[in-house]
Amino acid sequence: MSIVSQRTRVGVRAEVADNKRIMAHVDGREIVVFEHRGRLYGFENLCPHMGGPVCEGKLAPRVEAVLDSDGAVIEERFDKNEWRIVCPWHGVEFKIEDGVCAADPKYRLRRIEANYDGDDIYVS
Amino acid sequence: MDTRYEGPEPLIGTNLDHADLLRHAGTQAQQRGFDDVFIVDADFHHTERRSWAEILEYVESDVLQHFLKAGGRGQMWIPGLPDGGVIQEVAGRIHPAQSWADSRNELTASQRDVQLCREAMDSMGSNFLSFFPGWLLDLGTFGYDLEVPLARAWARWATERVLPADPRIVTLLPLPLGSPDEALKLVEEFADKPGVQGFMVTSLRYDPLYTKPYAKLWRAIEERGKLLGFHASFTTQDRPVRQLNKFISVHSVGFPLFQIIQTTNWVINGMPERYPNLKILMIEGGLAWVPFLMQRLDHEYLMRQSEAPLLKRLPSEYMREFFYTTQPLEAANLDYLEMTFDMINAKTQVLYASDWPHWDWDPPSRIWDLPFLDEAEKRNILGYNASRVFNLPIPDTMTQPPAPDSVGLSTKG
Repeated sequence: MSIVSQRTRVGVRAEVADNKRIMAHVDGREIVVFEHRGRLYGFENLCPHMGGPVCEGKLAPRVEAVLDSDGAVIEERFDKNEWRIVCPWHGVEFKIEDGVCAADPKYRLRRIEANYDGDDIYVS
Repeated sequence: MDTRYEGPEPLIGTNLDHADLLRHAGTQAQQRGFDDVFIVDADFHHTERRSWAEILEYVESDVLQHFLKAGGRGQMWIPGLPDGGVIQEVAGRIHPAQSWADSRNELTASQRDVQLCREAMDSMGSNFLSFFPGWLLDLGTFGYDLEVPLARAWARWATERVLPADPRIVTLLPLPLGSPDEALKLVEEFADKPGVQGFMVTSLRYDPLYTKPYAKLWRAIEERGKLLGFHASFTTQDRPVRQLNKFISVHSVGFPLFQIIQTTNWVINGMPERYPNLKILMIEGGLAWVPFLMQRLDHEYLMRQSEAPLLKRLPSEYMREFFYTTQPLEAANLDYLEMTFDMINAKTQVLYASDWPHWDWDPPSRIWDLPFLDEAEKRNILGYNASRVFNLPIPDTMTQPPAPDSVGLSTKG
């Protein structure tokens, strides 16, 4: 069930262009909407770890270690198929696709549906 | 697979203002009614980089002051000082120290440090904070005979420029233990300065603190009723830790490691019997190491009592009379944490600390939200215990602690 009680306009397309983010207060909650690779993402701006402003942190790709057939680490590299939003308070990383914490799935961001309607952006 | 990260990636966090970064802590304080909860932040740091020119004004040797200014070419410079800042912030993912470094450029260095302290206290709902250095924690490891002059410079700068500006800011002054005589001189000179509630040892050091040259120093601190803190630190250079290839490993092991070493030496050499009224506070090592060491020392003491002839009780009983700061609170498993609190007698021996603005800091809500503590225990840990240990007054307008005998307080406090 969504934490937003009704469909609400929070901004326009230009406000998420050039890596900007929209912050809005809806139903008493601080929410953030941003666009990444052409898709909109919305979350409550509250880290389940200690309450930090999680959506004001960096977006960063997953770091993965690559092993050879003997089990030796060949390299560490960025996997740009999986992006995380990183809480600026403590660095806890959450996958933007589902809001689940990368280190411990018991922590999860509250997702909010965000969509374009023309140039307007709505959450619901 | 696309594996290249062009960075910097989209964010609005780059320019997070210090006060704005803390606004959720302010919300937490408001939601929990912290305006009536006495809170002492027992471990709070400034960043010397921006204050360095002011601190150098207090280096008493003109030649040394000139050397440090010239060597730095306008920047902070200490020979041999490692720069682990970017690593600590997980390659820029974490922002508190960055927001602290970039904030309030319009103020002088000490005015700025005071303002940032006030912003943090006001956001978190703290009534007092204990102000510590950052890089200078490790002054005992510097070369070039810098320990004494830098310890004295920081003590003078803090007591003349920072503490007088706000009575809510107090400190435990770092001791230049490389010279026991100079450390004693610093205690004699600064113990009565307003806001100096005690003195501090950085646990990362190699001096035998239980030996005769230090005896007068500990007695002097004890006689003055001041607190002695052991602040954790780490190194990547000691041979056992050189094999740790990630900062997560260095930090996880290093901070408790040196607390374990200092606590073991202090207890096994009978220091609690030799200085029974000297209050000991272990800072920033977390808490999880304490139950381990209690069990290990008790186990060995039963078989090797002759090697610790000054002890009259089990090692763990002395350790239960130490005080410990909470941060970083190892709270991944609350059942384990509850057992740790029980073993340490946390309701009287543990003090809340934020460690702001470091990467693994804890807001006061971290304590308030623990489900296994009752409200009286939360209030003790957040502030009442620190009030006793640091000798800090609780405002008349706030809820006062119960009588000491009703909560089983240690007489050592």
